Amino acid sequence: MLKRFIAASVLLTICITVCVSSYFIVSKLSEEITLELNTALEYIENNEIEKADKKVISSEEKWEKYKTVFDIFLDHTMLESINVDLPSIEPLIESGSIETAKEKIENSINALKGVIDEQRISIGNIL
Amino acid sequence: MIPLIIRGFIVYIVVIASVRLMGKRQIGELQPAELVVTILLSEIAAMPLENSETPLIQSLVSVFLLVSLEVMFSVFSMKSGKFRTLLQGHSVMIIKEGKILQENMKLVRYSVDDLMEALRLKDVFDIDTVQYAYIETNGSISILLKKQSSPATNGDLNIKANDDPIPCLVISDGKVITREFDVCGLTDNKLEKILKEKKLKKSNVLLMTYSKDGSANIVVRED
Repeated sequence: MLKRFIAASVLLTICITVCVSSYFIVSKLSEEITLELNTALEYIENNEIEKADKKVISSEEKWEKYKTVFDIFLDHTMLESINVDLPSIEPLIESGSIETAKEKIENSINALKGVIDEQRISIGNIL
Repeated sequence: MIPLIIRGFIVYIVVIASVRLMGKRQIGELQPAELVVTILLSEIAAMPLENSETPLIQSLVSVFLLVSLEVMFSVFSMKSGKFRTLLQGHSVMIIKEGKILQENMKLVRYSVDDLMEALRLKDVFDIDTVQYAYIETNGSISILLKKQSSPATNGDLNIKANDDPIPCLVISDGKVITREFDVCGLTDNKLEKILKEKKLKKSNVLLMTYSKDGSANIVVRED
């Protein structure tokens, strides 16, 4: 009985550790990418297209790098829009479709905010 | 499709390990809390197999969480009577000295039809033969028949009977099973000696049982 109890306690600890660490990891990565996209948006607003392009490329690279982490912890349907929108921004900027690119950046930021909100410990999420 | 197969394999291993962790009691008789966990477990385990968009880790964490809570709660309920009552409820007497306790029947929402059915399942067709009956926490009924309706025991007939020793499974399909050697007082040497006497090799034995009184039953493989 004691062995089972110890095994159960270890499992419970692992579960809590996975949940807490996933919360911090996902939130941190989402915030990192959101920050880059916000900066890109600011550059577009200031008509600094080249700088915006670099920021978008950087955020896209980060997304590609951490995509697996997001896939492990989050429902894949939540990530669909980011998967579609984010890689399409850079070609849009290159082709001069700035307004559409802005729209896509905003969509990606909102989707990433949704990811952060989903992880938050709030009454709404619990209920 | 390959990830689905891998997911299925992982889920299968995890569910088997979880049920083993919950213990044998889980399979035989379900208490209310155990029933809830079993239902939830099957639902949660099926989620990542039905929907490939759901991360496997979400199901695994949920399964492990339920199982660990179930095991921990069952340990707490063993330690504390109050906690056990809170978690499992308590048995309720519904027939006392041959009389149906209607208040208690209402309390457990047991109709007369339910009572009659439960008694019939216990091979009791005449309620008048029942002295005491309890509804147990897992919903089953336990009964004690009136003395005049109970089958006579050796004790009733003043017959002295010795308790038979339990026969242990010693060889199964040519393989020696040592885990019950202590129970039936057998040793490796003794086993070798018995097989030598019968001119048999272990690999030729399909089944062998051995009792503490020294009696062995051997079934030889036919091929």
